[in-house]
Amino acid sequence: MAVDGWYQQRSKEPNARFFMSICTQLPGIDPDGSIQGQYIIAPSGKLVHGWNGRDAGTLRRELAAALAKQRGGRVDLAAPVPALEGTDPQYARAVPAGASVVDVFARVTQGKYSREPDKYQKLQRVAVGRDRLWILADEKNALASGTVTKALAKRIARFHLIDNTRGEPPIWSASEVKHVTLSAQADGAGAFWLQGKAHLETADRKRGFVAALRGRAEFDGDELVRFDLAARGAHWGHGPFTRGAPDGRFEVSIATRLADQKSASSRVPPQGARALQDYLRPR
Amino acid sequence: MDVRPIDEAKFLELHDLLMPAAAEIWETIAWRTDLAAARAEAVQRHRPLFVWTMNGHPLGCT
Repeated sequence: MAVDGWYQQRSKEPNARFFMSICTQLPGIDPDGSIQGQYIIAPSGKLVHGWNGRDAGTLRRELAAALAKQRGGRVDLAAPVPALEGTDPQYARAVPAGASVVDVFARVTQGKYSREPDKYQKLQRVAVGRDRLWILADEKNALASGTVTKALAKRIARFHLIDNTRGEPPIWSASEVKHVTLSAQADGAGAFWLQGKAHLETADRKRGFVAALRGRAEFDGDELVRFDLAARGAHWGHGPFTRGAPDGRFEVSIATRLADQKSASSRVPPQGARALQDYLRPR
Repeated sequence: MDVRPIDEAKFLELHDLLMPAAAEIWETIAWRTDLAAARAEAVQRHRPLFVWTMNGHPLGCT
């Protein structure tokens, strides 16, 4: 399974506390620091094997080591399993009722680098940033009648016009939105062209993004069946966890499509939904 | 740097360029995302759990 450690570290939900009690069995893991890594765990709560490294060679080696422990009888899968029930509403995240989940992909499509890349930077320079956008039921209703709500336009701008190709990106705060427009123009029954622009910039002007947006939304009756948006623009700067950006201004392009609702990733909340109320009703 | 409006033709070209061509190998794995449900399944199937955790969800951040 795959989890965002940020939630596990904060949630008071019994399963999160259970998971944290396993993570911290791995030497060197600081529960208040990073718990990034791979863990093989017994359902009873015992750590079988753990490491932090996701390149193919490490993964194969460590999985083989874990398998050897299991075959050697060192994994007690018959140990009693504690019953854990309850949720922590503060950190529970589910797709809002009636919302559509939209895949968001980002790439650096143009940029110059003055430094030679290491092996990870080589991957990052061609990497695809992935996230999900939630479009709420009332926003779909408005869009079906030709209106892009301010909340939807701001959510897209603040949380999804983001360079997330090299790590966890900083989202744009409300005060960093200098300008955003996104409007819909009818193009036949239930079809709309979308057009807009955005200017996002930090107060110190060290990070910013000026982008044009264009897209297409289509409805089949009340159902949103297409939400293809493309944004392209000039980005500059980086966040604390997205270092290694191209020099100066570089081109970032972002595109969306309706997610496959059956996919595992469509159940994962948007990165920006950590601040849930701000994400749902952005200022 | 070009920040001109995107016309319909450019939109279609750009959108096509940015869509992943096909499911990547990691996407073909039936990842579980609910720890309680995954743990219950592990008990039922008498297997250990492999958990991949990142700061930022492994199935969608970078």
